[in-house]
Amino acid sequence: MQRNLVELRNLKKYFSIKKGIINKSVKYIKAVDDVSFNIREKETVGLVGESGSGKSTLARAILKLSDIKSDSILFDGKDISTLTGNDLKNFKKNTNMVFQDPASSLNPRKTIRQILRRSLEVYKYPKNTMNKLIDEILLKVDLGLDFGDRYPGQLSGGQQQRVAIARSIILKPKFIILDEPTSALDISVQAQILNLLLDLQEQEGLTYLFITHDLNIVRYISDRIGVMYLGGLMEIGPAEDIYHNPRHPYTRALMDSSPIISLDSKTRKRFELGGEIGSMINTPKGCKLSRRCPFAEEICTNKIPKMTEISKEHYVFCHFVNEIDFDLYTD
Amino acid sequence: MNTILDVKKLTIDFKTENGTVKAVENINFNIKKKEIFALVGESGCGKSTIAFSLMRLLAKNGMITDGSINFNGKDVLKMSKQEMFAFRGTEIGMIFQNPLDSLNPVMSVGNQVSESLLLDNISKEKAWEEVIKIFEDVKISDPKERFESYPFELSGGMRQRVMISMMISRKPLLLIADEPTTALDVTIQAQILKVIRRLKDDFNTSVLLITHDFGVVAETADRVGVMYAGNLVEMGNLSDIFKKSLHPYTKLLMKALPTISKKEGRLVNIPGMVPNLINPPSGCRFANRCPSAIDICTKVSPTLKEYSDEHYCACHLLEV
Repeated sequence: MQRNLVELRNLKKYFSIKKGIINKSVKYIKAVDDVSFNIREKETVGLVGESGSGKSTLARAILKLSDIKSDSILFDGKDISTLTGNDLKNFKKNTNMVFQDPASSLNPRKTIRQILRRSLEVYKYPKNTMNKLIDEILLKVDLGLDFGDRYPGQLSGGQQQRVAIARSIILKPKFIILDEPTSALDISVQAQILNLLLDLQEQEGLTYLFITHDLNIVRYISDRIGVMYLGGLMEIGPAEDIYHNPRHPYTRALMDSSPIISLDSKTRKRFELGGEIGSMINTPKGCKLSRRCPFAEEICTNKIPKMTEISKEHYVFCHFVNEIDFDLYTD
Repeated sequence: MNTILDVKKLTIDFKTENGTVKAVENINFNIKKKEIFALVGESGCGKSTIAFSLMRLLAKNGMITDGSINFNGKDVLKMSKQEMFAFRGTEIGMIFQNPLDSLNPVMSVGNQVSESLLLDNISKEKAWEEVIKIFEDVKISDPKERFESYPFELSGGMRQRVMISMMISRKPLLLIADEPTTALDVTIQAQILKVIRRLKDDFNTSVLLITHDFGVVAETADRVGVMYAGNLVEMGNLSDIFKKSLHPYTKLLMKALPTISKKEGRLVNIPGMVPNLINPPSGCRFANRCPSAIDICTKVSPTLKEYSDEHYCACHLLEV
């Protein structure tokens, strides 16, 4: 068993809504509410959920881009909220992020070489080493050396994303968060980028947290998948278990709505949830899904469900996980 | 007559500062009554350009240089401005990716939808009743309350339902849906696709679906046209395209789609890039990326030919 690189312990991230002249917090947006899971070294954990499920807030918290309570996130065994000085610098060097839209995350007035050099400058690498590292990384992401002198605007979306990936790994980090890295790309380019990410992971021993709304992509790239809804974790387990045997009603509904490339997709039976994703302001006291779930009973609205392990490493947060029969509501 | 739309040899150029973009070249396809036809392809392949040309809504620098568009017995390219005005909406309706761009932010959605009904000189009350009925048809919850809502108060899925209501209120023969679910979450996408699937039975409407997502195609389409760099490279029934694809581009694309887990193998990379359409290469536009290209591919443009019942492909390799 690989050791844990990232540990989330009851992670909470609330944003307060302030009102009145004394700025009293009247309500809270519970963007991430009591989420716990681990990410092991060299594995890819996929995080899926619809917009507003808290995936990106969680990502920002892990990279220490927002304030969190102490002891809720551990990186390499250390509580990240207390990191200072060299420890903090080391943490920042070891973690990085790739975003959805490469065009807006690259400075349009700098050449690719300048963009890649920036992070090396922060860590005061000697000039010769910098140039050598930049050449190496350009080749590693399958861009030619001549790309170094171009500007982001002269590159296609796929090439821009390669630059963003190159920048994220140039300091040889351990952990990368990929936030919808292929959502803005065409299918053929998407395949290129996904394969590049898998190759880099093998070569560099990287650990990934892959955030996406696309269930087919998350199945392809991940070892384990976590499913979020309204800031809470609903289910987490090995990728194929989640894909073929989703046990939480939300995961099941998500799988059944996700388009599959198959001739039976028009006629397949689906389990659907009524209504829409609720607001994060007035989330139910118990299970986050209780207002939409056809199986919900009184306990669901009052009590947060405990974690049930239904098979090896496959955990579900549902009061009735062993009793529900999806066929009752499938059509 | 079973065909509602017949497009022949359609060719569209855009004049730009850098030269003429040959955006769409020699496209032939038709759409039958009560059929969902999907045009699928990557960005810049010309699928949306075709959609806009059907409504004659191309940007000012766009020109239809050749071909014909026949809709329900009318020659669309020969119609006058007034005729086009009556034609749009009544015969062909169109919805887009972002409904918020298409809705008036300061008018309640019910009033917006009833506007088109009032063109028929019916009373306001009757139009409102009709709108509420349509809202029910497209599964807008609490249609009476929603009638009074403004676009910003609705979710993305609800806004798209309002757009669909607005379009089908005129009972058009064809609805063009340009990436209608791209901005929506998957559970909401599934609901909207269900509404689109039902249009043909509930309103006798044909649908031209423009998308880049093969999953969406699988969920809705009866027939599919695959586009690449301004050309229609393959066309056929859903099963022809998914199971018996003939064109190298379609075949590779199918293997580039993530339908497996990484333990089962890698996705196929399609090397290279789409050619610049300002001076497109002679011959087949896919030749520079095609793993099995032969001599003739870089010299002569292949033509679309029928290989089995309604299954068309434009590729030299099939003719050798």
